[in-house]
Amino acid sequence: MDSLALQIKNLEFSYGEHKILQIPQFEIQKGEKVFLLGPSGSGKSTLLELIAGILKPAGGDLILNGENISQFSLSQLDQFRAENIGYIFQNFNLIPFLSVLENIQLPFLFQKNSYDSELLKRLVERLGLSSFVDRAVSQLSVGQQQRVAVARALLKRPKLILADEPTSALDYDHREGFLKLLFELCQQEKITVLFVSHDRSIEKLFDRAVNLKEINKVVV
Amino acid sequence: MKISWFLVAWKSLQNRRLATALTVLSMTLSLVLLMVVERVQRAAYDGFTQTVSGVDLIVGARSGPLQLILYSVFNMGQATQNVSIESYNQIRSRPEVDWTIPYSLGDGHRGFRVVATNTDFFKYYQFRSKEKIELASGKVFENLFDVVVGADVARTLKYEVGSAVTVAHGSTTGDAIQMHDDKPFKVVGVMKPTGTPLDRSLYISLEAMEAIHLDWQTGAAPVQGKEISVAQITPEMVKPKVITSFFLRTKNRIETLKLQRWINEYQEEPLLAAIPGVVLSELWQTLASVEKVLKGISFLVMAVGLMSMLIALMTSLNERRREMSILRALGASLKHVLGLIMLETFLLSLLAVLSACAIKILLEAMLGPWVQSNYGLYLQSPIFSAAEILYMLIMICSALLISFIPAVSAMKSALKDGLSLKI
Repeated sequence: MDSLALQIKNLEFSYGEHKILQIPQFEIQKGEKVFLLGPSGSGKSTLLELIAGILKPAGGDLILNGENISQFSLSQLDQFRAENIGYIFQNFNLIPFLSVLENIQLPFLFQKNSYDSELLKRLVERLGLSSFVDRAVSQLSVGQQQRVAVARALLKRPKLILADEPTSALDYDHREGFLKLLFELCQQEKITVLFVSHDRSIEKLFDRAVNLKEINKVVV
Repeated sequence: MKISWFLVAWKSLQNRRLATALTVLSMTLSLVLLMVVERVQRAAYDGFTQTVSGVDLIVGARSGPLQLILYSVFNMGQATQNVSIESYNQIRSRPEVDWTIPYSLGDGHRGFRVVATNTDFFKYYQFRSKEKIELASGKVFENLFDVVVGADVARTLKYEVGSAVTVAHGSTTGDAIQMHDDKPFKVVGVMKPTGTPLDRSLYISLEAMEAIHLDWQTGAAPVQGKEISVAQITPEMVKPKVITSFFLRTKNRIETLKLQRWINEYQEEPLLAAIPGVVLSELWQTLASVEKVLKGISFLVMAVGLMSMLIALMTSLNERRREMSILRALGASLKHVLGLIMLETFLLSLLAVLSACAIKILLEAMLGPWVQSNYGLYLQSPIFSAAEILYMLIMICSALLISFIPAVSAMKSALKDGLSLKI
């Protein structure tokens, strides 16, 4: 059994003539929590979109849990993303006109499986959302919205959580609390976390920190 | 409620409820307009071509078939020649004839036409689908100076059974110069509304028509000393000598054409027999261009309604780019994005169709009787004609077709934006 959650080999990506990424080698172990840092515009978001299967690499291999998704078709990528990847945004994570519960259930529109209602109950409880489930998301604080996003990402038992600066809108105390809770929930399900940020104050909470500049051969 | 595509599309529309409501309203109104035009046209066509039904031939002096129909059925224009009672009797007694209704025209009463006929008129005359004349009050004429009035006449002139009526000579419109005021009539019956020109006439017997003209010579009022008073009239004196035209029903439809030819070649007198249905349809064709213009305009209005939907969807797309990014991140494919926009459009057009149907049914229930009594337009069943159902389908299908524009555009921006939309 392969112990790697993510394996990148000679990954290349460019916007037109403009080369953004060239990563000869990068690996993440299963269950590992990795902090990826780099300045704005260094290609962090592009790397996340490649791993999420929103973008297709120009070359190289992108192997997630033993599956080389660089060979996948667009619809296979969508399917793979729906089933295996939990994505948490910086902000505006939620569809404003749906309730909290509907937002959490949303990923199951895109896959055949139905969700585990036991898990849903546990997540809602653990994330302190029990009294909000039927509320409109616009009535929630930013911190609560981020916890809804976590519940949504975890409900489908993803192999990998991709987080794009989800804590930047929170103050330090909340950031730490949020991350501890996220890690605790991921620990239970053995979920790998790739967390992108430029905020080094939370770096110490992760198993490992990687600077994109060190693995990317393209000089920005 | 469990999450579903329908729920997401519905809540998204609800989220933009003002734009949604306005879009649905404009689509609804355009569809209602189209259905109203269709409905009125259908009612007008039915009313027009079925002004007289169950009549196989209309026979009059030789002129044009159109003219014959116009003065016999629509109260329009005048006959130039009469039909002698001998010819009428000869045709009437032919074996293939089932029944006839004689008409003698020429006089009027305060803008309405006076028709001299016999009681067969009440027995046989049919309009629309086999409806017979019915009386709202009173009875048909029996005595010489009895008159039965049409519904419009009774309503406009406030006549009821017992009212006195003076017939004007030679005039069917406006005030006449000469009146048959020496021989007044009495209203004995009021007809129920028919929604046909029948409502705008007064009906007397052929004998009465003869009686009021007894002392007239060559179309001029009687000179002094030559008047014949009511008391002097004998039944022999008022035997009809001429009529203007007559309606004819054959026993067997197959004989109609043969009889028509026989009448048209009648040697004793130049006569013309016309088939009313054929002439009425031809006449309608010449009037139908107005209806085509109306329908054309209605389709343009529908196009405008669909355009407003397109505009509303396109303007909403920019605000929804973040929403699309979230859906993409959660596993939505570009096809899902396309489908979501199309589902929303389908819901929009479905709402428009349903509310248009509701408005149409409500309008017809509320305005139907009024239109009927004021314009003689009968809104006959079915409630939804095939054409109207077709319009609804056209509305939904073209809405779906048009929705490809915002749907593809949403797909393209979703592809371009990826997950890292900066706003």
